[in-house]
Amino acid sequence: MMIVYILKRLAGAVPLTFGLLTLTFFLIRLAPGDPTAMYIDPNIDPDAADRMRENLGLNDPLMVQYGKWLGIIPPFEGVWQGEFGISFSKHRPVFDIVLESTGNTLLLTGGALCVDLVVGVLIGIVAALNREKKMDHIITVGSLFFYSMPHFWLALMLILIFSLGLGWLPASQMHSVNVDQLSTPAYIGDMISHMIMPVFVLGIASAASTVRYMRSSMLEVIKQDYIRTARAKGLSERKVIYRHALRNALLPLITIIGLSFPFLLSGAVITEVIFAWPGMGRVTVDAIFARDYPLIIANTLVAGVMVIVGNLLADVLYALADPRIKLR
Amino acid sequence: MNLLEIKNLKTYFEKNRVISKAVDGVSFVLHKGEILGLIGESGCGKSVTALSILRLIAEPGKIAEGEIIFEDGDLLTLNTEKMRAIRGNQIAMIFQEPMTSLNPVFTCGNQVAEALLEHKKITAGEAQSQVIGLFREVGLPDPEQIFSAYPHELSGGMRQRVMIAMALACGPSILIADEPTTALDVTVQAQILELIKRLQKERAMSVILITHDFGVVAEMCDRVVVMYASKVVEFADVKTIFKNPRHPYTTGLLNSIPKIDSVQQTLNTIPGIVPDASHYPSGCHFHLRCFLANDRCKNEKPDLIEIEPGHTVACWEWEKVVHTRER
Ligand SMILES: Nc1ncnc2c1ncn2[C@@H]1O[C@H](COP(=O)(O)OP(=O)(O)O)[C@@H](O)[C@H]1O
Ligand SMILES: [Mg+2]
Repeated sequence: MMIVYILKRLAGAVPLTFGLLTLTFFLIRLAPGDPTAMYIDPNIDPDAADRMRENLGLNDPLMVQYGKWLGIIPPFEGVWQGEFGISFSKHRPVFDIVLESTGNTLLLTGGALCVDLVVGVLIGIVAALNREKKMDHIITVGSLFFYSMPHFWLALMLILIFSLGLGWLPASQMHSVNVDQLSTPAYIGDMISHMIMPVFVLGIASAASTVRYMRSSMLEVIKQDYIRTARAKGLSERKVIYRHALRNALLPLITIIGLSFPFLLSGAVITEVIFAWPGMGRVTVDAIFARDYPLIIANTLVAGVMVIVGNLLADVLYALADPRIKLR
Repeated sequence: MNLLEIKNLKTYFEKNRVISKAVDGVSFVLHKGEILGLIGESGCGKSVTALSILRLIAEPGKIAEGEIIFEDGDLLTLNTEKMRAIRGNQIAMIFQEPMTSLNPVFTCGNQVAEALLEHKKITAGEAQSQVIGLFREVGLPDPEQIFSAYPHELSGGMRQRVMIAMALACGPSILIADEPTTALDVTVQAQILELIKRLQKERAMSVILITHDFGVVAEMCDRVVVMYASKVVEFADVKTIFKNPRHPYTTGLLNSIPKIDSVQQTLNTIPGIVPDASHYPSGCHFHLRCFLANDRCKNEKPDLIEIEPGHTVACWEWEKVVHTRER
């Protein structure tokens, strides 16, 4: 049944994704600027720019461009045929570029999600169990602080302290320059030291909101009758909280995490740019500045698929965790 | 023989400097092998009394005073670990709301087995077969299947049976049943009460049965504690309570039992409502609703006095109370 549900959801996602890509296709062409602008030098023959535009097919009427992009008019090399084109600025098939960076972004967002969950859930529980006490107030203030702090500011402060000041952590990139000479453990250690700050920056803001959700969810659950039943059985407080309450308190969190996934991805864009992390976010920003239409679309597709799969995963997890939910 | 003795129990809730004296000086004794009824309208402090016995009063509640003597010791002085060893093991409790008293994310069998595994030195396999036996004992059809069913898959009556199985799992000497049938359909109510009575006999347990229904008391109980607004107002065996009630509150409750053979259909309810625990009236807590109230009742709290062996009443005017149940 679960498989049928997943297939149904994926099938439903196809028109959604297609709509998203079509919207992106028109929006980026309506936006001011033009892919050839960055090559144009006032000393160069203005006809050169026009020839370039002609080569890229940008002088065609919009609907013709769309038809070509779809692959329903000659030369029949479009989306329908699985062709997303060649990057205007990098002159390589767009998917080669995107796939190189997707893994790096997943590494970053995955790490951030772990920080989000581990920090958010644990501190949320501590806050709930110390409700209205000093610890709770400290956590409330702390989480508001991290929640309202912009990514870029936190990132710059961390770089200032830990890279420029203390020199403990590298300020940017994913590997050191001498990466080729490193043994495997050293290679991993090197990468982790590069990951710490970006993962922290990206994860901590969502962790701050997870703390708030976890706290209120936990407070809601511990006043339920079944918690009293668990205590009446003679269970230890540890079992009451971590077996009976936690499992229930986590349920709404699954949905919330699923919904927050797009925010994590958009946060990744800024984080990647600041830390020069070679992920999709940076590729996207570069592509947008270069008005590299095919690359923008390919990135949109991958990000869209990630969000859709993330949400689907959240729903499936929810159904697995809550026996009252039947997927159909 | 006294199995459990509650002495001058006071349980208070303090919120924003307002103190609710939910239970204020309650004393009674539970004998071995009896069903003791604890009756009173909603809000009189019955549940708080029951939860105090197991020390399950949650914040902001506190047991301010009193003793709960069980097996020669005061439960209120035990450390947490020793108290846990009693909960669900020697004293077990079932609740009013079978729909919400079971954890929705664990199977019924798992939740009952948990009680066994907590208190007995047995393996998970042994626990499972014992739980299936318990399910059979409480009259659940197809016990093996219900073992792996989730609470939401069962009806209210079946869930209450699961709760009873859970309470009985470790063979407790005391079962506290807090309005176990109030939330159930009428037909199911009778079955659950019958089940409790049968199990009490078979296992020679003592039961504290909380109810607001004198019909249930008549069917089930040996002796009765009548509670009103945080205090015990009358205490006697069941025969005496019905034949010779001496507190105006008790007679009021008795009169409000619907009579099947009655021509008139109106219920003789007591006028007014139970005041909130945060502001009880001065004097006798019942005087505002009492047809016998005088100035003394307004100003002085009546103590419980023994008016005949085994029959205590807290009322200044108990001699004037004459109960005639119109037939
Ligand atoms: N958690 C609580 N906080 C404040 N007051 C409470 C709480 N629980 C019970 N009370 C008060 O104690 C009184 C007795 O409640 P309860 O024992 O539940 O009554 P009963 O079970 O007889 O219906 C009520 O006035 C109620 O408002
Ligand atoms: Mg109650």
